[in-house]
Amino acid sequence: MDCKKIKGLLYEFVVSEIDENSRIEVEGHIKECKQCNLDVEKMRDTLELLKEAEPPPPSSDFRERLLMRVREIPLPPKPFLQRLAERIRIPRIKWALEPLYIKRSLKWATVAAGILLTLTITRSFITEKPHEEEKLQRGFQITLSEVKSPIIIESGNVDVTLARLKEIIQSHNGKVVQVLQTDKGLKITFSVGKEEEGALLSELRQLGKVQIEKEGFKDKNGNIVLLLKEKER
Amino acid sequence: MSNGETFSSLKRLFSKDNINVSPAKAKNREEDAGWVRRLKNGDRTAFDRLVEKYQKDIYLICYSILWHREEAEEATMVAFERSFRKIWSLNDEKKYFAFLKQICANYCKDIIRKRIRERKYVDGTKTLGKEISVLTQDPLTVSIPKRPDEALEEKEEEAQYEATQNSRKSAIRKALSELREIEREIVVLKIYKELTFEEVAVKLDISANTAKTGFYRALNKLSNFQYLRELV
Repeated sequence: MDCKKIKGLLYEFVVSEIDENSRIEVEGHIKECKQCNLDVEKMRDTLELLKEAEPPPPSSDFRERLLMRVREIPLPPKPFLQRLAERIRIPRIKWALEPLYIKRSLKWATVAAGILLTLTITRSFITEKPHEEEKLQRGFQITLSEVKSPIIIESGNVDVTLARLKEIIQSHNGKVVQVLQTDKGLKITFSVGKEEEGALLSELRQLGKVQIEKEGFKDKNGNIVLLLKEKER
Repeated sequence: MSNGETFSSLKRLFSKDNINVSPAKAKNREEDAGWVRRLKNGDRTAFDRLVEKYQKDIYLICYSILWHREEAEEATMVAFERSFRKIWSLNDEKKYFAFLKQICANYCKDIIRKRIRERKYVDGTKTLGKEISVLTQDPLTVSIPKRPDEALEEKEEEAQYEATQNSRKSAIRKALSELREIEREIVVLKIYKELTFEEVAVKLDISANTAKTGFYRALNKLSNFQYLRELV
């Protein structure tokens, strides 16, 4: 038997509340092991000292006094929140759902109405996509929705018309910003000074079949947008 | 059945407290819980049962802190009284004894603080750093002033014997006061009430192993105090 196991039995050994086999074992170990022998002595002394300081029993009438004193206290009232919790009754779930069971036929109508309602609400929250995202979606498929009514020129020979158009723009100190091939035709964006604008527009009319609205041909940057189409034969 | 009762019974059903608990401990807990619940429902006799069950333990624990019979009795009464008044603040009915012990410990601490303030029973050497260890002498013997004109010579031997006895006692008290609370409780219940480790464990709501190791640790600490060693 090792010291560790003996240490757990020391108290029982000292107060001799140990079974016979263990007692013999501990005694045998103590004879050999000095440390454990010392521990036994220490424990014996400590216990002796503790026994000396044993508390005196309480006075004979202590129990009666204690009970008397406790019996005089009024019963503590139930706390407010507890009383409140007992008064409130949680409604049963079936009762809460009872409106749905009144008419079976109404149930599906209610469900449908609910779905419709949610759909309309969600739709109203979805805003239309901004134009910027739409603009360069797929290759050349550019919509012209950013300008209300661009200037439309129809001509038999697009290349010649484009060259002449560029000349006209340059002669009025204008600047071509962008030329794009779209599915509807060539989209030309250019800028020009305000005082030259009228003269330029009147010169454009000589190019062929030209549609010019009073306004709505400018994009948000103030550039004029023009659509050059090939004449249908 | 009201909601409050429903909730508490549900709580009891799903609490993990009663898993891995020895049957004796579970029985003890249920007994306490039953009495506390009866008290909450307005049955005063249930509290008498609790008083009968725990008065000696609480008295011993109080005494091991205060070392004064009258004060320990008073502390015991106050602890029971306060636990009665505050019974509604005890949510976990199983833990009545822990609740009572806590009240008792707080009250005893107050008393010791008061003693320090009034410099009553305080040893000549100032040990204010450790609040508990201030009390090193038997309050009863200290509070009685000795008259110098008393015929000391005749009783010299007796006085000397008494003095050594008192110094021994006060040394043990000081040593016990320096233990941790739970260790002191284990030692007190084990030695002065002569309970088995299992019974101590049930009473203090700890495992029997904890009780045993705590007891050995406490005894080891006590035997290592130099001032105790000098006495033997």
